[in-house]
Amino acid sequence: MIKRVAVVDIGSNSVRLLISELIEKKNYKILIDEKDTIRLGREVFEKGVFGSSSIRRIKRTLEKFKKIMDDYEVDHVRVVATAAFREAANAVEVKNFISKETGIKNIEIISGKEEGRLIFLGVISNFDLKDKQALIVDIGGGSCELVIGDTDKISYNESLNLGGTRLTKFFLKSNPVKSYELEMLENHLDSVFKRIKLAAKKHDFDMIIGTGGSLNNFTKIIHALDKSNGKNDMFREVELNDVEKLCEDIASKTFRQRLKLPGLDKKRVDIILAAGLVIKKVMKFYGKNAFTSLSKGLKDGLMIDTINRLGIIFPYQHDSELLKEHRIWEIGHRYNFEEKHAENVTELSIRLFEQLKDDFGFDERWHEYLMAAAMLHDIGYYISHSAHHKHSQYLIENSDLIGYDEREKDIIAQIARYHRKSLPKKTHQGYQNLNNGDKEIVNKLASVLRIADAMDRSHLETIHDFRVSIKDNELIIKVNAPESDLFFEIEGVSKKGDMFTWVFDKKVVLKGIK
Amino acid sequence: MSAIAAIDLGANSIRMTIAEKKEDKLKILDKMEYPLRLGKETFLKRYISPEALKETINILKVFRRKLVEYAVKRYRAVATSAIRAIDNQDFFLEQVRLKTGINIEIIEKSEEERLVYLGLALEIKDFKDIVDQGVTFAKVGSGNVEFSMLKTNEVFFSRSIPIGGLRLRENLKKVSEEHFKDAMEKYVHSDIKMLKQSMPKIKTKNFFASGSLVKVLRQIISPSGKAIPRKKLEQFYKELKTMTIGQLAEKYDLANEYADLLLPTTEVYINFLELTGCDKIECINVSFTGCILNQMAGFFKSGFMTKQIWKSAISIGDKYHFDKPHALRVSELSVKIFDQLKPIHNLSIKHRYLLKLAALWHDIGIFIKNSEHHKHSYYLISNIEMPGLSSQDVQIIATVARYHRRSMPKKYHLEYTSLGNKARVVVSKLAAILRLADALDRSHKQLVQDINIDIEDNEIIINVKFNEGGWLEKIHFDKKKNLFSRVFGINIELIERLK
Repeated sequence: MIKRVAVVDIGSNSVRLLISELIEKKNYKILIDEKDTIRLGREVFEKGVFGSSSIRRIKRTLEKFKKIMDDYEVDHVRVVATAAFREAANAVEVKNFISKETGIKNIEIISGKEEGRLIFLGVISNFDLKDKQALIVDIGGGSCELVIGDTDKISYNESLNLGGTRLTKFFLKSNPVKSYELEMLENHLDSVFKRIKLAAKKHDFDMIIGTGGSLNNFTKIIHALDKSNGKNDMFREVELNDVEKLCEDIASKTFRQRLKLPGLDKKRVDIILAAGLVIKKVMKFYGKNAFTSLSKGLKDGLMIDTINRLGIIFPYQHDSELLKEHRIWEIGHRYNFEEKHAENVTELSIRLFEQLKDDFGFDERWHEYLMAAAMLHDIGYYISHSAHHKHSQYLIENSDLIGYDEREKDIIAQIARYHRKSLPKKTHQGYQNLNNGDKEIVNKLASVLRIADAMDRSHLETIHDFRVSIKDNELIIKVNAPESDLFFEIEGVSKKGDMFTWVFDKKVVLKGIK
Repeated sequence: MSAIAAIDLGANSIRMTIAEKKEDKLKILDKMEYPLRLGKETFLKRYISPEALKETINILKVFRRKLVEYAVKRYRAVATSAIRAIDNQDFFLEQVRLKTGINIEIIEKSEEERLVYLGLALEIKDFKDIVDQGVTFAKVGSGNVEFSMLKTNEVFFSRSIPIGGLRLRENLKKVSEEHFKDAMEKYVHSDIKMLKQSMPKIKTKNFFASGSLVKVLRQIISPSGKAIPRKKLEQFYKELKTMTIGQLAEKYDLANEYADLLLPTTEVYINFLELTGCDKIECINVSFTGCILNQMAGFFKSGFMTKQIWKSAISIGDKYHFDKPHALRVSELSVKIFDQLKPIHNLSIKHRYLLKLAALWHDIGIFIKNSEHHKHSYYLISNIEMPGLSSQDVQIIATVARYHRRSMPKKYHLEYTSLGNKARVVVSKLAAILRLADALDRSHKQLVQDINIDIEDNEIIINVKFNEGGWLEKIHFDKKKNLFSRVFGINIELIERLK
């Protein structure tokens, strides 16, 4: 039986190794994620062949990876090579030589379109598109893949020779770059996009998702400049004017000056500009004002594809709603949550939400936030009882929830954080980092969650049936049960209704009717 | 031998014991106790009122005169839970110091626990056998229940659960007396359910309880014996449920205050008996001043529950699914390097212990997420509560683990700068050693058979013997050694010893 799978992606900028372990055909977990930045593209894109030093570098890296794979007793290996190998005149010889030297067989040289497909697979397995059409822009070392599609199918797939290493090598040779170099690169981008215009603009999409290490790093800098917290997040939203600003800034700086930029990966100090310019061009070309950066891509898609080829299809691959819920359950189970209580509080929260939404102006989309927060509100208990609401916040912030972007994840974390104890305060940094609109969402939803939690304070699922009515200064929750069964809940709600009172200026009263 | 004294500001009273060391025993010269319910103030208001402060000062002034009377040269005044959590702690301590000249130390929970255990080990004859069979300690206080379990070669688990008698009364004060019982039972039940999920799945043979309420219970239920059988306790609870507080106070001649707390306290004890599978409660009387005196007299043996604490440290690792062989090996290698570098690092045996734990836990953050896992390790470790570890210790361990990879300590890392000067240097030294040890098991395959360190004038040589392979270790050693040379100002090289 296959337990451990390794994939190697020989890119034009770096070579990566990913080893994962299958979890009962339901999912996998990453054991190792190694990267060697050996810049194969530099020589190939200039001379058209791998020279002896490039070959030595590939050999050394793959030898090392082979040993790691042996150490990990990997059952199945797949190795793919992209742009640099597609282009080098001596690719086949080099491939055979490397295989002989390292014992790694079957190095697949994949096409740009196949690369695009794998990236797309990597994205949709880690990001809930929710019936949306997305354009995926992956900027690698040698090529740039553009793929448009939704969860079901790909409608457009193009591979362009616009990788960061390649463009830097050709156009941005000086340090700092000269203005005519920039101009030439921009001209080049214009002409490439003009060429694909007809096909590329045939398909509509709702959002742009940017992937690839350089682009992720570019985004990280924008966020680091914006907020000073250096969280390493899976998705980030970026706006066009920020992209333009940062491109200008980097272009005016020497490498040494660039190193002072917060968050900059020093291995990308030269090629980062090219990546920024490409995404800027793509946004302008399509007239879009923002893109979402995602730190998943080729290697993740390659891993899933490789496992799929072994005959294992993960349950969430059939259904994206399932993917999202599946991940919430997975996170809950990891922290040993009390399933029944979590489910029950979620149900109560959602029913309160439905009954209150019209009167209190709840947005339909909030439903999703409340659901996730209610399911996960107690996970911090795994760390310790005291301050467990804060632990829940930390764990949610650092979880890989699917279907929510970074901002939404922060909102969910904050809702869970306020399910008990103190109301929001000036000193609560996480809360204060939210903008006013998001604070309001947290206030409203956390006050609902608190009430729902109090309604199941006994963890005995006493309350099923209830109706809500609103008086001038009271919110009355009428429960279909005799009052004498409900003292605990009545007391709980009168205490934990505090946040609701704070937000909506209404007292919360639970009553039994029977 | 002159007299020594210990003063304890407890939750229900302020006590002092004066004693004298006679060979290997203490001879008690005088004992004093004044009832003052600081714990209640703390729990209800989180600060000590001016009235209670004044009363404290008056009592301490009396104690002060006694100290002079007995010509006590050496004394310690300590405070525990009652003062630990108050908001006006600094002012309270300062006022006491100014008005009485007595300096009160705050004892942390972990240290309190340690002292009590050591005290019991000294006082109870067959304490070792009791620990072998497993023992649960419980103390139902105003706000919290202190609960711990100890069993040889198994665990040392301790928790503080917010279901103290007064807290239950307070939290459910709007519930009418008639329904209080039902609501309270549910309340206790749900917290016990949560506790059950995180506690070790073991049974203990012995159940010890201390505190003023359990004394009251024993006097009522089994005035002749030392223990309270579970059956009798349950019967008593049934009776309690049918009585009002007034009736209760009258029948058993209790202060209303106690009568009020008897019902919730009984219910909590019954729940804990069920949880631990015990059939009776042994009432023990732990005199905390006695513990302090024993420590001052040097009667406590060094090395505290070493086996059990190490076991619980490992079980914490298990909880976060750590790679156990790797963790154990890195811990072992860290200590080896530490021992052999003694002339260089100038650190204490205590630091060695902190390093050992940091190495054991350095990777637990992977449980949250692989990327940035050193930061997650930091978060998880800083929330660990373990008997025998003070919060300062925990902070050092967490920070050492945080620096086991990636960035070196920096001025703008809050967790680093907030440590204070001395601790910062300790952390950097320990992290530098941990990085080396981690590199030496980089493959997670425990390939290192032995190491041997030579300290030379301008270089340190670490001779490593591998069982096999070791190439990955060698590469990473070179990558991870810069913190070491930066901290110790000397370069370190790995040399593979072939034989």
